[in-house]
Amino acid sequence: MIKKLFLLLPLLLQSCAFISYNQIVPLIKSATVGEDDIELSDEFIAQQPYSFIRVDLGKGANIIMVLQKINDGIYTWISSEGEKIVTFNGKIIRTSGLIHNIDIINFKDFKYFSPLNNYSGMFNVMLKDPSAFIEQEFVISLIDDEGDSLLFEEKMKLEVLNSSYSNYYWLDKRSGMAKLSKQKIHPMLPILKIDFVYKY
Amino acid sequence: MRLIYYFLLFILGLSGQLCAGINDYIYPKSSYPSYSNSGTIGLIQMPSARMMPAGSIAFSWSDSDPYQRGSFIGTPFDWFEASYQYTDINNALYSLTPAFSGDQSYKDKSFDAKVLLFKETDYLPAIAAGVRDMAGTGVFASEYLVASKKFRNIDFTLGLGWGAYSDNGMKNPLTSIDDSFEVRDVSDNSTQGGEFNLGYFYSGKVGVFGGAEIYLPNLNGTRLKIEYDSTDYELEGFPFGEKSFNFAFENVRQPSSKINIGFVYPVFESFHLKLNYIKGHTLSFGFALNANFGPKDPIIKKRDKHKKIINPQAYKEVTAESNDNLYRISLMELNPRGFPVQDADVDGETLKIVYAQSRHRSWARSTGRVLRVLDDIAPEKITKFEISNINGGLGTYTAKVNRSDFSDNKQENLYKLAVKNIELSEFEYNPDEFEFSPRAEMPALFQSIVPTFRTQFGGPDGFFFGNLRIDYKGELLLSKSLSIKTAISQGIANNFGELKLKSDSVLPHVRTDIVQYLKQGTGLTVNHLQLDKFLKPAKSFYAKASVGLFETMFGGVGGEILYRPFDSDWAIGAELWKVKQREYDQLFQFRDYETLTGHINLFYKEPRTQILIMLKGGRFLAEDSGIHFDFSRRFKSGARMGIFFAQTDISEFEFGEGSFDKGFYFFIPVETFFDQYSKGSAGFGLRPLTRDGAAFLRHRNTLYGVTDQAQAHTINRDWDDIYD
Repeated sequence: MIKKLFLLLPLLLQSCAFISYNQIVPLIKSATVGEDDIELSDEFIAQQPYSFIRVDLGKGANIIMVLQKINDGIYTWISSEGEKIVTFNGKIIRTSGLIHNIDIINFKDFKYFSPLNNYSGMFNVMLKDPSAFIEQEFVISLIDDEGDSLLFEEKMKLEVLNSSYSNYYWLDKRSGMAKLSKQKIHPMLPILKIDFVYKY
Repeated sequence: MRLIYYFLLFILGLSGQLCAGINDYIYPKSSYPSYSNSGTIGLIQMPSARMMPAGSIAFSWSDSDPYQRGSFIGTPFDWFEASYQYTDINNALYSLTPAFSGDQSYKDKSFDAKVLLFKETDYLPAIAAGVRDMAGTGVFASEYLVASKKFRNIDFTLGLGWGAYSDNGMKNPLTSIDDSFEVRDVSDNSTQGGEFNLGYFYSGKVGVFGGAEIYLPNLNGTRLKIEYDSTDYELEGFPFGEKSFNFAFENVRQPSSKINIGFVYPVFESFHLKLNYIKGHTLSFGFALNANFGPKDPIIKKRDKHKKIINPQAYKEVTAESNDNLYRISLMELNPRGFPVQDADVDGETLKIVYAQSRHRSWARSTGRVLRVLDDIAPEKITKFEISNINGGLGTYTAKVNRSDFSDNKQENLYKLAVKNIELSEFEYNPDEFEFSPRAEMPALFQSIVPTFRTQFGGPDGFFFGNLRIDYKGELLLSKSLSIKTAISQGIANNFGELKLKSDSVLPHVRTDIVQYLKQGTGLTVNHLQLDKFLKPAKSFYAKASVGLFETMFGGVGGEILYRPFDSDWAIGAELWKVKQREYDQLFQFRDYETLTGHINLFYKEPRTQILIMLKGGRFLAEDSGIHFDFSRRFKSGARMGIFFAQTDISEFEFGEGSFDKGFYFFIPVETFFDQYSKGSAGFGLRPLTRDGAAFLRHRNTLYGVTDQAQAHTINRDWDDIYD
């Protein structure tokens, strides 16, 4: 927000700007109060012909991505602008077209259930934009099974960046499919909140 | 000695050990170097050899008692940095006459420049030379030669300083070249100030300075700076109060330590906050805002994509039936996309389209978008396209394109292959040569309402005055070549009441009555109201006749002519205006002063660097004669930055303070801040003083601007946009 407003300052110094309120009002609104949320109402969901995800980048920045393909449990979602998110059991394992992208090489190590409820391991992650290879330690555990969802916490530790945080996944008890997740996938991106809506 | 040993140990202890890729995450927001308190890139008080990328424009502000300094910094090349400093010196008054300047503190204006002499390599440091306060009063005059070398996460700097940077007083090594470097004689200053005094540069004793900018790991890009300061604080500003300068009233506190330490915190990549402890007793702070306008779409990625034709095959079947169908569908699909069809014709296998547009600054992009539509709708028998453009009724360019070259390379965006065989030529517009010329709805009105801000700062009445306004901007097209352009403005709020400075100019007050125009123009004003008629009398010749209120201060009648050969990089023109000075209220009344002004204009654009050189020689508004020089560089984003200066046949005394007209400016495309394309620019220009000498008329729709695309280099520079 601050960044956008600062960058607007030169316009106040203008001598020959030729911009209209049609442009200014949405920009100021976007910089101050954010964009309008895309509400997942029953009507909205009914209108969508395909399975889709709503990705919330924070501050009301929402995008809808539709299911492009499923292959061996790997779901590829695509936006109207060509951005792609690839998920495996609800976890984002690959992206393209975002400002910063990732590619988890050993993503099949990701699973929810383990005998002692503390499944751990190490993801090998290729960070992109800028490119770097990192290792992420993880511990996955079930932390809540109230209601119709199971809530899993994925504790992450990036030793080289002296950083640790948790991702959360809500699984539908009946289908076993992810229906909501909050994930930090890249050090330079905010936490992504994803609502999954399946239409099959 | 032991202190230096511990210092080096401390520095090495902070150095990182990691590979380059992950460093971008351990030390984020570190793409740009940071600014010193002097306003140029550097350590805390001292400069470094670092430079911003070409196309960067920055504003830096710092408070380090007794100075508050605001700086505009431009980097037209990655080897050259120029900055304009405005320094508030708070141990001196603006003047000793309270009625003139109240209790306002002294304001100093100065230009700094730095040149990168040697780029950093794996083993050798970057080396730069710079000059500070080169064309002002000289109270901060200093020069330096500095080297910077980055080792892991630490950027080391070591330099030699002259003038105010010469505290530790070594013998000047340049005396081995010439004895004249031994003595620094700054007494040869002009009485009017503002001149470039080259005589004492790099003369006198030399100080050694150095330090390090340390990028701290995993602290969101925070940097620690430490330096040895070679500033001689007895040579800078007004150190001894009244003994140094009549208007000064207090001594500057001298340093108790030569070691300064500071932190820089990047709130985001282009906005830095800084906090420093300097001179052993002073806390200083500041910020710097920087943006790199060099690359395409530098701030916001465009989402203004080409709108695809929904069912191209169906269109092709219909357009194959008759040329008339093809013309009408072209019109139907191109007009809503912002490319109104002016004329169309089919000549054998070639479809000719004449279009206009006012949205894309890239003519390659607009040509490409027209081609994409035509490629989707034209029948298979069409194998060539001729896309021509008109502006103000003037034919500008024609691009002859093989359809297969364009369509075959579209999928993979192989623009170099697509444009290899495109033939560009000047377009001689004759509507009678076209079978289809849709009737345009005339008159057509284009209008918008925009907020604007009139400013005046740095005067004796007060540092900053402003007037927030709302402007109505309109353009009425009476025919393709006849238009009226206007801006009507209404003031909303201002603080111009305190403005009282009157002109002291001995020349006709063509610009120095600015205070009267500002104060009496706080309500409704007509900023301009100009009728233009455009003509193209012969190949490569363009002409314009105008009448009206050209700018806030002058109105009248006149015109210009331009010779602009299509395949050349140069153009030459002439303009002549009979003008009368407008009343201060900027409505429809005139004052008594009138004059005839005119110039020969010469333009040369170097296509590789996009440097535009403009010379304007002739008679100026105050009836002085001479030449105005303007050098500017355009960047891929469309931003432009430039400098100007002028020499006319008036003396330094007649010109007044500043000695001659000079300044700098930059234009930033408005589309930079939006995800849609548009052609407007936000401009900012600054001259140290507003004087009457070398002032010229500012009229709208200059021929050089209107015919920008009538030269091949304008289109060639952007071919990578053809599939955008």
